[in-house]
Amino acid sequence: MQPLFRILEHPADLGFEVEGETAVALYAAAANALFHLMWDAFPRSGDESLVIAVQGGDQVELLVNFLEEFIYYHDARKMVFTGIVIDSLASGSLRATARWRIFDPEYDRKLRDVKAVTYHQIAIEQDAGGRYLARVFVDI
Amino acid sequence: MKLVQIDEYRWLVPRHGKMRTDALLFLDRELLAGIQQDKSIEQASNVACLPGIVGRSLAMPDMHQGYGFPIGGVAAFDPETGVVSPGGVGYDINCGVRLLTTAMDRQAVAPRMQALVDALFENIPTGVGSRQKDLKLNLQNLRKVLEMGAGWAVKNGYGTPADLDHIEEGGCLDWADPDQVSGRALERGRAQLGTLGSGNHFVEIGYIDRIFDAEVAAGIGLRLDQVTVIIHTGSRGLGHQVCGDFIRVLQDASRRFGIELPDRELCCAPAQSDEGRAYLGAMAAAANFAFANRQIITHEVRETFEQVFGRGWQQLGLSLVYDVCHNIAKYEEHLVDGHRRRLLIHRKGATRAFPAGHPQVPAVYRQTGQPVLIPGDMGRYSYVLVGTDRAMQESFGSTCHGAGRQLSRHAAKKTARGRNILAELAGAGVLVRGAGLGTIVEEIPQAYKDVAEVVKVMHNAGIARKVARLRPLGVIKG
Repeated sequence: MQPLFRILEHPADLGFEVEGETAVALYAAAANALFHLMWDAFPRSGDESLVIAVQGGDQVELLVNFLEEFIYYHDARKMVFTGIVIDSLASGSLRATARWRIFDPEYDRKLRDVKAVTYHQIAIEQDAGGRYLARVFVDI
Repeated sequence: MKLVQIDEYRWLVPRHGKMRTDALLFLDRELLAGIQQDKSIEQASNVACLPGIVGRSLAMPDMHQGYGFPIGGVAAFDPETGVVSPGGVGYDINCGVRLLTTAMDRQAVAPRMQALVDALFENIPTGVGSRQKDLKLNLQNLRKVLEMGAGWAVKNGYGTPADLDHIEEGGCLDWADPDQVSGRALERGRAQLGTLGSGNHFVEIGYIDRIFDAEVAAGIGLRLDQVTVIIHTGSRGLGHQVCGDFIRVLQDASRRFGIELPDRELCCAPAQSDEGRAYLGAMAAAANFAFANRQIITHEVRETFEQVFGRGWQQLGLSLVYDVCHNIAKYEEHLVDGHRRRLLIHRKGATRAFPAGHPQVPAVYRQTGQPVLIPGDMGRYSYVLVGTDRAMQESFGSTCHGAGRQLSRHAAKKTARGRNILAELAGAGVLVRGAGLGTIVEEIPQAYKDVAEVVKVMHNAGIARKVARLRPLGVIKG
């Protein structure tokens, strides 16, 4: 299912906005948005599971540290991620299970080289109705 | 924000609020108009708030919005009382550029240009996730790369010792500390040495189409119609990871040291603190990786010329003119209020530009001044400048680094819709091979400012002097 995200324009790099009914949904949406910016890869049977566990001093730092995990695994180990489930989200820590496989040029297409997740204008907010919104810029 | 015009090319943000000093921007009116919608002036002012800053916060005419520092930002800090900030270096540590010249003229190369571009594209790993299959580095060797920089590459057969005399800092920051580089950074970098990467990284074959200063050009070894090669790349995933790792560390350090940050991405620590020293050691190691990377790609270029032209690269005259960093922090000596001081200089999208006679300029360029390489977009031109005494007085021996983007990637794609960009460039005499059409479209010439305008400001402000202009003939892009 296509994640709900909006591309944000930036002179040199790229940003996105995601929404979620809950904080858990928000973090999952952010991960899915990053996946869709980085590659075209769709779930297949046989995809492996990886537990991601990160910490952060605040919600924003947690989000950056979480998303950076995927950049590391992709750049270092050629892993592409096809799905994410947030297992737990507490103050300062997040645990998730991500579906992955090794990049396969027959099925997968790389879209862009994301160097890092930045703190540039990063935000996690809640609207009056309690819906969460996150804004992230990545360095390309 | 109040902006005071000093002269045609200098604008001042006077110290106000929490700024410890002024911010000085090198711009003309047209370039200033182009950045009114971004936050780069605010970012230059934010840099002026950092502890231990010496002199002014500076921004070069290619300035535009970055992370923490503006791109084009330069700032000097007292090594004892000042801070170091990854935001003043950037994610691509020691992204930089080098220029090679050849003994060939444009006419000699023209019939083989397609073959040359195709061969470069085959031989130099480019594009998203590019990896070097032929260079298998174990962790021990990777550590040596981080210690020795370009020297490791030369020692292992990628170039000659003479190359090292033509690289900023001799191609090695000798205070690098590989122990400060995380396992993740090592893992990311291990298969990427000798690769170009993607985005705005490139190898460009070109020729000199204009000489502005005949004497200096001759002193550097440049002549009209001479075929040249520009290589633009950095520290790849290793540098990106180092920056990310230390942004986390220095955010904590900023809090611990009670440093008030106008912008989170200006996180910093005292340069003499454990955290500051650790970042500087890791940053230097990543910078050395980038020096080695450009040296190995030079070797790949030389081998490719040999393959296409059937003669040795020395016979073809493939000589390294100079290699400059444009994302770096390092210790340099500068004159401040008449006194010689050791300072920690941050250049984020800015280039060192030392004048004739400076002891750090290689002996071969002591008469001319240090060559400064300013790449433009892939359709127009690039420039060679030299540093000046005025740069030492006003900008800690720094100048611009390139054109700077003016269109977002999305806007560039929109502009290119319905057009055959490769055919357009070929029609203009530029053959382009890229790992992905998407990247080429995002990098169309219209996406960038006109580098001639940027260079004009630096030349007319007396900060760097124009020597030659280069035109592209063939480009490979990541």
